[in-house]
Amino acid sequence: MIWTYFILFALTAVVLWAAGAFTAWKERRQVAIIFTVAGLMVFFAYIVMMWITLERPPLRTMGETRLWYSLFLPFAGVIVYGRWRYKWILAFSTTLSTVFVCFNIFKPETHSKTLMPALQSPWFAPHVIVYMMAYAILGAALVMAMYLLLFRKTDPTPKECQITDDLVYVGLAFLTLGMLMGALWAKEAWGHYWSWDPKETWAAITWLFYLVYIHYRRYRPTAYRPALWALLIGFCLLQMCWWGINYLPSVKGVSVHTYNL
Amino acid sequence: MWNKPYTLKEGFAIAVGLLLTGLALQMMVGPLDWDIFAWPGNIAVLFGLIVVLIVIYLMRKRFYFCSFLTTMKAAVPAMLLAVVLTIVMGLTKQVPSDKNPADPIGITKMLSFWPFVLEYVWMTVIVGEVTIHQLVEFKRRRIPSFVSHLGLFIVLTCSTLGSADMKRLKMFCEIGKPEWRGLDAWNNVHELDIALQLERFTIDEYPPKLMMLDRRGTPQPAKKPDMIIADANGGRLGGWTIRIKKYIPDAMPVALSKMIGRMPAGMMANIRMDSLGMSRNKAGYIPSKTRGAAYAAFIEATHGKEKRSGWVTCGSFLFPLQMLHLDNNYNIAMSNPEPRRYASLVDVYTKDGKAEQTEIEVNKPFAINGWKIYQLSFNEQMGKWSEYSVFELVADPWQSVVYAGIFLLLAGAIGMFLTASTNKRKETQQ
Repeated sequence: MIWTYFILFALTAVVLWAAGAFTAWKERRQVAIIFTVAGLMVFFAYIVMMWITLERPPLRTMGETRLWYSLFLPFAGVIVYGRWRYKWILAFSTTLSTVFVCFNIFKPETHSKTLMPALQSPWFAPHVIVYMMAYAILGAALVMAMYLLLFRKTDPTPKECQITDDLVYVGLAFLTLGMLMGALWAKEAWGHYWSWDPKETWAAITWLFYLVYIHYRRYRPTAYRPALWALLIGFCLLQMCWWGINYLPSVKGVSVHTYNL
Repeated sequence: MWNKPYTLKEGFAIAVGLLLTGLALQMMVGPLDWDIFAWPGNIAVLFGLIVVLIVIYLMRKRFYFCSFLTTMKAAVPAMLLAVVLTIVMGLTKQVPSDKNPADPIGITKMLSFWPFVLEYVWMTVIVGEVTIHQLVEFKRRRIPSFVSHLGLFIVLTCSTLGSADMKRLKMFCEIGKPEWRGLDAWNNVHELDIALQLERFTIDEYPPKLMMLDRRGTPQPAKKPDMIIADANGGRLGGWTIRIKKYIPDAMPVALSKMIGRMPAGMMANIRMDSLGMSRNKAGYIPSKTRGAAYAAFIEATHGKEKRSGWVTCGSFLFPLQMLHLDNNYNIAMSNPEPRRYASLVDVYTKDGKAEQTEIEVNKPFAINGWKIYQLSFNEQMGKWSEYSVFELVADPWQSVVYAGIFLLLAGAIGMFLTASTNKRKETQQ
């Protein structure tokens, strides 16, 4: 039932984030931060309401993980903005977040209270939330890469490359934490910490690929173009790991990571 | 090419060379059999690997190749090739470890596919070499990187080499009967030095749901079926308003419950009500604590002036399901309840004289004498009346070493997070 209110909360949040993005563009820093944080609070309030009415963490289905992603993107955006004062980052994070909000508005799911025994663990919430945070930060890195590759006419400054690298470092750190927490949980739930389940295989791919980025950047700090393209590829691999694999014929009925039913 | 100093080109040449070598090996000797690394083979290989890595390190000044190993130019291609092969793995349906590959090349059993193994070994060698290098030339600001490399090296080597020593057995336990035999993946029976006796098996369930089925039994609407929770007041299903007038969590058809108690227990155990019996059961359902009771609800469905009412039940092993007929095309049915939690109360005995009673449930395994005992499943046809429980017993002697690696990697990740922007700035300044 609560899902019907989503559109109200989501639209309010998106409007606030858009206002934040606009004021950031107009270089009114404090106002921009206030707008964005207000949007975050509205959106988070909805997640909390859902958590309470479902009587379980809203992290089971794809739609529910998208909620967290839509929340964390502007969150990562406002941190980058607050720290490095990139006036366009909020516009990008808002746009990307809105795309995922729209998914949830136009393709809503059935939400039930059911939480299968395998998911009833103290690891459940940290594992998924940390992963969503990682995805959002790496999404912000993608936003940087797209801006530098496609919109900027001149070469990126060392500072811009530095910000992109920092986002990847932090994103990868979260990715590692999420993956290893998953491994420790898997040992408790399924008897082994790593079983090369399709989700695990793609998590390994994503993790290794972002490692390639980091190592390549250290090898050739000035050859930024291939590195920025790598971030685009990395983001695609990440989407594959998150939801793409559900559409792979090779995965149908194999993965133990499907809780969408 | 091959002019010193090497570049990415040479790095790629080595990685591709290993890929081709792996393909040749695959054709000549077939998929790699990991069981050859069973104890003490694995410890010998690990020891040998570490010695080789140290020797390579000592040869750094003598042979250029040995120092090349610790460069990004070797690492980046190695990782990239590993990524590519892992993507192939992620795109193809993999066969279980006890089966042969389903394709002529062997990519459907990637973990035994030689090119895959060689690329990962190559990457592991580089990780090991870098670890030694960072240890020898220790710098404080490199701690997160060093800890990550060391952790990754431990995880990569010990989890793969240790997998041959891992034992996974299934144990089927009936209530009241001690069991000490386990089945492996090939259905071989193993006698163990621990025994389990199931005392009680319990399931908590979510209330079942009501849904509308078409003639083929597909829930409606087919794309995104509507459901009503059976313990609610009601709701709407496909244009019909459903009101739940009565809901009984443990229900028994009246006709059946009349028989119970009048029959000897032995005969009762074999009795089942069929659909003919159900159609004669005109008096509905009553609450009952007898084995085989199931959820039932008396519902009323209205659509304009049309009105239907009757009992629906998901049924149990004792009696079949009952639906409410709406029209020629649609029925209202009750789904089977989904488990919220299931648990087994067991007595655990070991040969060395331990005796403990414990409750094992999903996500809460029980550890004793190097074994971890997991709740795996139960008799799903019997549902909450299941009289047996299936456990998985796992012994992984290498687990603590792998965990040490995992915790190092965790520490490395936290270190990387904390030092993300400071490290490189210092490096640039230098």
